[in-house]
Amino acid sequence: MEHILEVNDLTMHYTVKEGEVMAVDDVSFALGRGEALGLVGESGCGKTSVAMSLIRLLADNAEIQKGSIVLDGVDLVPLVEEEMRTHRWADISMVFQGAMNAWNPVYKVGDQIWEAMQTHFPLMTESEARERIAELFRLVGLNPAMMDRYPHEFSGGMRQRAIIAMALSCNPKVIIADEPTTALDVIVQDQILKELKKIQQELGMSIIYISHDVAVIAEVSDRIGVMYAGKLVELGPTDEVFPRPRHPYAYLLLASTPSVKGPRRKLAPLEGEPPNLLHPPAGCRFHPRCPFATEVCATDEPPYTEVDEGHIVACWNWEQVPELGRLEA
Amino acid sequence: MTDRTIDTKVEQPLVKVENLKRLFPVQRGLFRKATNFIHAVDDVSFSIPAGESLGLVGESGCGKTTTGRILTRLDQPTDGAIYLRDGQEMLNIADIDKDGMKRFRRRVQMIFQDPYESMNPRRTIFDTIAEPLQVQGIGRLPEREERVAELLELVGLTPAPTFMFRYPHELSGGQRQRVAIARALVIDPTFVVADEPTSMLDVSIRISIMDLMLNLANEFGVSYLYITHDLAVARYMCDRIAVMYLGKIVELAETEELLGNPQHPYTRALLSAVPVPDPSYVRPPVEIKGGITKAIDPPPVCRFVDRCPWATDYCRNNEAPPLEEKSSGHFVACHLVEKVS
Repeated sequence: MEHILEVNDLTMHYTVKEGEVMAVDDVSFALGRGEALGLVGESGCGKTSVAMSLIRLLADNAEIQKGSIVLDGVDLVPLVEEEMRTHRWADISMVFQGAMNAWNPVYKVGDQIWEAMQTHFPLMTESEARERIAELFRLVGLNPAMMDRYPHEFSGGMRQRAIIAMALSCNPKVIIADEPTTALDVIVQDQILKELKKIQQELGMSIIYISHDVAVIAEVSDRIGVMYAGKLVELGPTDEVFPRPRHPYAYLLLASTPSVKGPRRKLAPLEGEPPNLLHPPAGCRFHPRCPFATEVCATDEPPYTEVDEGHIVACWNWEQVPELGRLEA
Repeated sequence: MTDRTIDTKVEQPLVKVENLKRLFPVQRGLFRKATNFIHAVDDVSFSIPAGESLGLVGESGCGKTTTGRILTRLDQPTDGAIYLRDGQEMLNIADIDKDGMKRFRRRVQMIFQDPYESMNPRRTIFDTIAEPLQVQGIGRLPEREERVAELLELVGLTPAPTFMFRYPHELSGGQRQRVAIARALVIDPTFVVADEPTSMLDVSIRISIMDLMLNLANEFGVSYLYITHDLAVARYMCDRIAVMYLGKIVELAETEELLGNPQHPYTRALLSAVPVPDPSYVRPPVEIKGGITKAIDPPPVCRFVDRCPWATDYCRNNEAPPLEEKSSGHFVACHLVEKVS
């Protein structure tokens, strides 16, 4: 598959008064054209930091230390803010976590989307903009007449649809969806995920989904990347990783996810807490909590092993990890 | 699974809720009297036997939290009654006076959703957990310290002495929720209302908190009303599940029966909307129209009628269906589901 986005050795640290927080460390992955990639992990694992690095919206104390982010042939890392601005939203856009609550209450939703579009389409007339917004609204399942309404007239699900419309407004090549349905009820979540999937297929959009919810990622992603403590520990096709995760953390994460389907199984708790990334453990960052850890794990960082075609894992003892199996017999 | 009785007409219930109602006025201007009401909880009845956990599941705004707050007397019902077993008698909790309240609090506790907001930032972990002991006048300082240390061990915050004199901001979310659980359990309650106690936590920490609560149920016979929007979590935690929609219980059954054989159209929709952590599983389509509304002065017909894919004229023109036992222990409030047994 042709790659629209290639991330190589991305390393991003935050400087705080106690030192450096190693939030993203040597993360590499590629996104195929029209592909949906899911990044999953728990709070603080660096998944949102990866996203913020990709779209280059970093806090003042954050810095990309090394690595490249090649979007359709252009490396975004060395670009200065002015140059980056021509790519942001137009080539790579993002649906932020909780953005549906960030609409300005005193402006009409359509006007707010138009404002966002004006940077990239300064010559667009009002009627052209209205036409484009109407088209976007239809795409995300909103009545175009809603563009002249205010945010409070939208339900939570509708506000999130409008956010997705805004992210699509400049025809980006890549969309990052950070927890796009986290605050929504399950029936609305189902509608939004279906809508996103439909849009992705219709427009051939390349999407990076970011979520803590492995069940959501299982539904929407072609491939899944599992992050732990700033590292990408496993990456592979969703259909392979789910029944057979190879990294102990990925295994425990999946095994501790309750499900309404399949046998009522005892869930495996994960002991301990994620490490403080000011002083991450030596060797494998997961080794203090890992039931499969051996001596080497405490000293040497595990390299990536390709366990199957396109399925890589960073673990010394990946062969020890048992099969999880499917929920549906 | 234990083979305890699963009838709502449980022989010796610990908690019995009868026709509970809570209306909230919709304010229409500063000096005008409210003439419209949100029917947050409308004619809800259920029983919980000792040692059982009942899951109360539904979307936001369905009235599950309001029900929990009324059960712990943090809110007053507009109508209806709640009884709590007191020896051989059932005590109406509305009749509890100030002195009785202290005894009630000793038996009934609540765990809140947000471990970040339900704790006083200026009090140490010891003070937070020991507060109910202090209010109840149980023990003196050395005994309280011993009891708090015991609880900290129980919820896995070890070694206990290193946690006792820390402040909430020094703990992670999972640790704080453990403190909240320790505080609720420090006085050995018999009944705990847990309102989404794990929804803000990461999945790996969530399991250890849920396991902790299950162990307490097994060891000390604590009963829970477990309020959650997540059917998968309810499946893990609860013996029975009640599904709420706009203030009404629409279905109530033993957990596996409810998930394996859902009868009410809303339960079916809710169940088929839950993502499954297995990409090979293809969910059935969610057959439901529109979005959830608010129950402001709802007409007396079935609340689900506008969104129900199978609704008939009978549903539109007749009074809301009562929650009826359709097969042994399986209660459904729907005109379209026939009595099976």
